[in-house]
Amino acid sequence: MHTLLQFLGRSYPLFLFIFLELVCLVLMINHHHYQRVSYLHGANAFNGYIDEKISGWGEFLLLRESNEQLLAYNETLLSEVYRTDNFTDINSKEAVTDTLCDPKNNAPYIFHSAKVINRTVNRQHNYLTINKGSNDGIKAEMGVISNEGLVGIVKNVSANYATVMTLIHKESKISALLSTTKNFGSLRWNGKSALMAQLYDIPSYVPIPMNDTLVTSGFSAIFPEGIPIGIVKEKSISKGDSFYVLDIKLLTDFHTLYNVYIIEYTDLEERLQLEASTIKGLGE
Amino acid sequence: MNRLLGLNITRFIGLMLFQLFILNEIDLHNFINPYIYPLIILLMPRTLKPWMLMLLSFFVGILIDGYSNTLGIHASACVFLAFIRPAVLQLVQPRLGYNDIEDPGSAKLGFQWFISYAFICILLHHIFYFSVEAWGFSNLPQLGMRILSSFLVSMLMVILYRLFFKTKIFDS
Repeated sequence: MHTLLQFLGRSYPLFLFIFLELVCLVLMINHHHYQRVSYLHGANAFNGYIDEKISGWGEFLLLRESNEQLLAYNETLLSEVYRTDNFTDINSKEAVTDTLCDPKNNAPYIFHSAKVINRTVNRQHNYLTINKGSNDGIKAEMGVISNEGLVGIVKNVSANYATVMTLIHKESKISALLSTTKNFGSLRWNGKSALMAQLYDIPSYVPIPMNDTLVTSGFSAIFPEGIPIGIVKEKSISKGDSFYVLDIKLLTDFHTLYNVYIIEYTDLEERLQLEASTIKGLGE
Repeated sequence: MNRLLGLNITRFIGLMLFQLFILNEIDLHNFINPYIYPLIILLMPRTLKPWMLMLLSFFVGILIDGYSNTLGIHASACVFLAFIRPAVLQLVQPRLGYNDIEDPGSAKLGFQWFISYAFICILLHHIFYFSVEAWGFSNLPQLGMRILSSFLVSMLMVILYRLFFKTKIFDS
């Protein structure tokens, strides 16, 4: 007993080390080690406040760029309006292909605009913090887009802030569609460059047009169909594999991203209920 | 002793602010994430009890984690660094011993001594941190690149720090 106590006394640093590492491990696992820390709620609000202050400066520096982005986006919107106006007289099915802009279609999507107040781009798990939270109707698992293209998915929400898991995040996985061949694949990120992501699961018999645009498939309830994601830049296939890995140049520049839109899908519950009841029906 | 305490607290605040608001904000490259805050732990008084050192390091790590969205990762790397620090100090001990020199940053220990001490500690810290961040060794070449490139930049900054603050503060 005496020797045991002596042993414990002598090697307490080791036990303390193991204990503290276990505490860290618990902390990591509790936050899935890639999820945004909501930590103590107060701490998050405090961090959010500081982030917003810092971002005030960044905002100023990026004004010119974000102005240009907004102008470009306005142009596309105007042309969209013009197009739909022109086509309303013609009773044609192709008149409006974009469900988002079709007033008659009663599109089930609501867009909330928000500003990016903090971001990381050089980690393996990259997040944005935006200045809208549950008070503004933001919930977890909502899609986030920018003027340029897809950004990511809302992960954690506090009262006034939310964190967004971006495309450049090791756990990010988005169902995407090649716009010319209409083939589906799964978009993930290999952790190398903040400008490129990878599209998997495109069968090798599909002819891949370079510089083709990659858009969202609309299969998940998170994003509507047809939101641009990136441009196909390179294809590769490992020996013996029957699926391509495509390098996709992302349209969203996560370094300068400033204005984002959060997509709320109002029919989400209805859709999920229907799908759940169908699956349940099959089970019986 | 009081002087040493004041020095450590100033260093803690200064390096923390530098790390969080400058280094973390600068985006050099996806593979380069320099960390200078381990210096806070490296330069704590030499005779600090191991448990004290570990708890303080844990605290430093949690603070960094809280602001950089990595709860637990920096803390674990800091605790690891605190755990191995006595062994590293033993390893790089000068031929004549430490002679009651409390502050590992003291100029009496020499520039070369400091660099070899910091080299080992920062390298081990980076290896530990980036392995935990990547959550495994599944992509070893990429992990290696991240460790190496970040380490080189961190080390450069440690050397700059040493050159800047050597004469004024370290001689106690």
